[in-house]
Amino acid sequence: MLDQLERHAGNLAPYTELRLHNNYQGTVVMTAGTLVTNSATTTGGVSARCYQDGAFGFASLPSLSDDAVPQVLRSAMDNADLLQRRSARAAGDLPEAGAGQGVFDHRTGLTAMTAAEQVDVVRAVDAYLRSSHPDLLNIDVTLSTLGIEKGLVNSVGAATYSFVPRTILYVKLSYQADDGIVDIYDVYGGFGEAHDQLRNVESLHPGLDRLYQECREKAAGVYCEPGEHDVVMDSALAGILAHEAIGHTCEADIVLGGSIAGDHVGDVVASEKVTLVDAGGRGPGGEGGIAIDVDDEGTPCRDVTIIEKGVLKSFLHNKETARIMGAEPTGNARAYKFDDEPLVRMRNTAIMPGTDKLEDMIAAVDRGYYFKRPTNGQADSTSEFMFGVGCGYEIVDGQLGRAVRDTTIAGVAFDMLKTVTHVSDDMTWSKGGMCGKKQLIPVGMGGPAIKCRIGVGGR
Amino acid sequence: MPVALDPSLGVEVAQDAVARATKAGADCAKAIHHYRERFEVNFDTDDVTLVRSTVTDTISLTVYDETRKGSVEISGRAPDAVDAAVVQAVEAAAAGQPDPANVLPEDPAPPAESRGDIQPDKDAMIDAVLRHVRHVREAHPVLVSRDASNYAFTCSWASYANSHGRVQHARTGDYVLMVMLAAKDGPKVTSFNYAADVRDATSAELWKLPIVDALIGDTLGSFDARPVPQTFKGDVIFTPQALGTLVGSVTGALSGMSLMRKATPFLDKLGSSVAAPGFTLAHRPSALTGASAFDDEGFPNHDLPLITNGVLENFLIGWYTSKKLERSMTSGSADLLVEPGDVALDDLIARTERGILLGRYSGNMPNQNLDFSGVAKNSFYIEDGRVRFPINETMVAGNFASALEQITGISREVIDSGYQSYPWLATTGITVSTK
Repeated sequence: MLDQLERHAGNLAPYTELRLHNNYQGTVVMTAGTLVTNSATTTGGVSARCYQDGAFGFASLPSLSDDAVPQVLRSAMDNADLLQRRSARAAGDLPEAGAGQGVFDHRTGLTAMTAAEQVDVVRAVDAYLRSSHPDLLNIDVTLSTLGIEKGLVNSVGAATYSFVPRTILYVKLSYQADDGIVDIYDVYGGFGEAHDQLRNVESLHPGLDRLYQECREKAAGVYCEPGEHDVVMDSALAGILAHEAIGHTCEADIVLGGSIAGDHVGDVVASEKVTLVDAGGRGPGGEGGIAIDVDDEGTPCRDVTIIEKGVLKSFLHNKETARIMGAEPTGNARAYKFDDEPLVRMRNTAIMPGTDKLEDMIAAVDRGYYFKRPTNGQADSTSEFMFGVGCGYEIVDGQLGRAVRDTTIAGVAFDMLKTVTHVSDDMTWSKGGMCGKKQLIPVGMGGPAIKCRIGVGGR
Repeated sequence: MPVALDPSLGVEVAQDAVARATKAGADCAKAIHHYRERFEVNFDTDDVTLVRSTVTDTISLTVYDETRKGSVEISGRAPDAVDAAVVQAVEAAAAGQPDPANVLPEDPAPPAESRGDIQPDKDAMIDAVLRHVRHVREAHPVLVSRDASNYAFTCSWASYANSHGRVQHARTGDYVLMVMLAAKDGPKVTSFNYAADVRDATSAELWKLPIVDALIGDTLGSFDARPVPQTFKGDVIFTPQALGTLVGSVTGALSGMSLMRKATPFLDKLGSSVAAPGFTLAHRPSALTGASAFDDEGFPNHDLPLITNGVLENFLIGWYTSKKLERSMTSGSADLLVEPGDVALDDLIARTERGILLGRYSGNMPNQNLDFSGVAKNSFYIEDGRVRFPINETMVAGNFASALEQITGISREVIDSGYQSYPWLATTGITVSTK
């Protein structure tokens, strides 16, 4: 792939990125004991993006052939010309950002799982749950594999190849409670291919049994009391907190789009216990949910400290936002599919661990909640974020109490983060973070447990 | 760029893939070929930022080994790539699970309708965007966005073929506008909000489209938001955008897959009252520009009543789930419309003693019981029949099935985005909480 691209690298002018890109996806779904989906998808092609005096033109074709490359380059240039003709611009050159180079192939080389073996994993999980917990109303098991393969060259010397795999096993249980249906899910797997993550299905059994137990507890559980409460968020929630509460608000395109963060660089926006980073590679500790060393504009990725000991420091940039804001590109330009243009996206975003212990944090709450696992979330330009909670418990006098039904927690990030009193000394990375912002894209999200005060939805 | 595909060729591509699969040993097979050309103008509140043109060309092949199935989708249609896909699909089917519901329809498919342009008027699209940007910049300088909006034309050719000789084909041409906005005035910032609209022709004045006009008005009116004065259980008026969350969740619970799971509050409710008498929800592709032409077994999209005057008339049961559930097929698609009511929106507000106008729901995905909990975004507090102020840090929680039963009024006005057509809908019994 890289050899093919480098043959065209000499023909890239003016500023141009040329990308060959394949996404390999596998999906096996078992619902109510029936295998309803067993599919493999390969989506690929070539794209080019040109820049001329402030005008970007992008084009893509669903082909990896050499013949497609000149076509796509010409179309991208035509689009930039069209924009330049219709909307006179004189924005100047994009900033220098270095030329990312290297091969970053994250396949382990172990023998790949066959289609039959992947179906067997799903069957085995379904069969185990069905036999161990026959009182469940329904079981959904989904195995989702994704390998993103990219080769990229640009007109300023970048030349890079990457293959980044991820495997997610999603298990959802439904139970008929006295007052309706209760469901709960968890995600297993993570960075790597199916054979890296799921060779030993029996190792999942303790986690599946815990999930069933949580489902039963939730069925007997209560709705949260609405309002602001003292809350301990498990480390499994810290990643989505970092992503939704702060990360989006500090993406430079969102800042240019009015985000409140734009007015607060250098201000105290959080407790001094909070340090938040967005990192390339595999992130802090080397166990982040994605791997990225060169972004899709060809910029070498550098780590960004967004909040350092409570003070807002900097934003996440691509070349265009860096040009507008007079900053340095940080390597945050990412595209999900071959026909997507790179946007400012997070990479491995994490709150850094502190020194506290989870049990001490729970013990420090007289009346509140311990939230164990998140669901979906959303950010806002005001920094008022939310995310759902699918598993949690009451805390009464420092002890865990009854389970709670599905709820949502929300707050204004720059207020709520100032209420953080404890940050645990451990760290958990989300196994399956996916972000939607025009395009879906895998993201890494991580962090420690947090004790804070936050709004809780309830009845 | 490649010229537009000959409309007859898509069926040949699908038939060729099916023929290769049966030659390779598949007992049965089906293929769906999609070819799409897209032209997209990206813009923000300052200028046009990117012009983008893309082509996608995919074959989705499903093969059957007796009643086991496996599927593969590939980009492009090179013969060697199709042959490799066939091998992969045959292996996937062999690894599958026997399921008597895995059968293909044998009857000829009634023809589906094509619509819309084949090629976009690129100059007209760019003119429209430039006019829109200029209007917003001059009339509403506090509105802000960055690279977040786009105006796109997509022409899609879809072709279906199966090994029983069933074929289907249709072309659609859609102009889709996606606008995202916030407002910023010095240190004051509003929540962002967004809207999408689909038409079969270009629109000259994008800011006058009803959904964009409402978006701009609500965003400009959202400065100085504050929480509701106190927590209460009461009235919520869903805007058409917020109603999409409610209707989407309810429709999911009416699907064949939900019936398979037996995890839906509507499981035994066919023919029963599930909503207040004035509520009518329909799958009505004939009224919606953005409706698909046919489903994944080649059945043309057709209108279907779902809930009529509060009574559940039909589930959404596609081909596969009809075989699985041993019930009649109803529809494999969902293009949704809620019938307008007989109350003016102003009157819905005027008769609200205390409640909120819910502009957008930002919350957890409602669970299988249709419980929901989330933040009221782009929303307003109502007291004594008047909209008082924009709200923030306010949460809503309840159950969408109960919300249907407790509808208190439906507006005469609707917003038709082309994807759906919804009125404003008032309901009660929802917890509205402050921090």
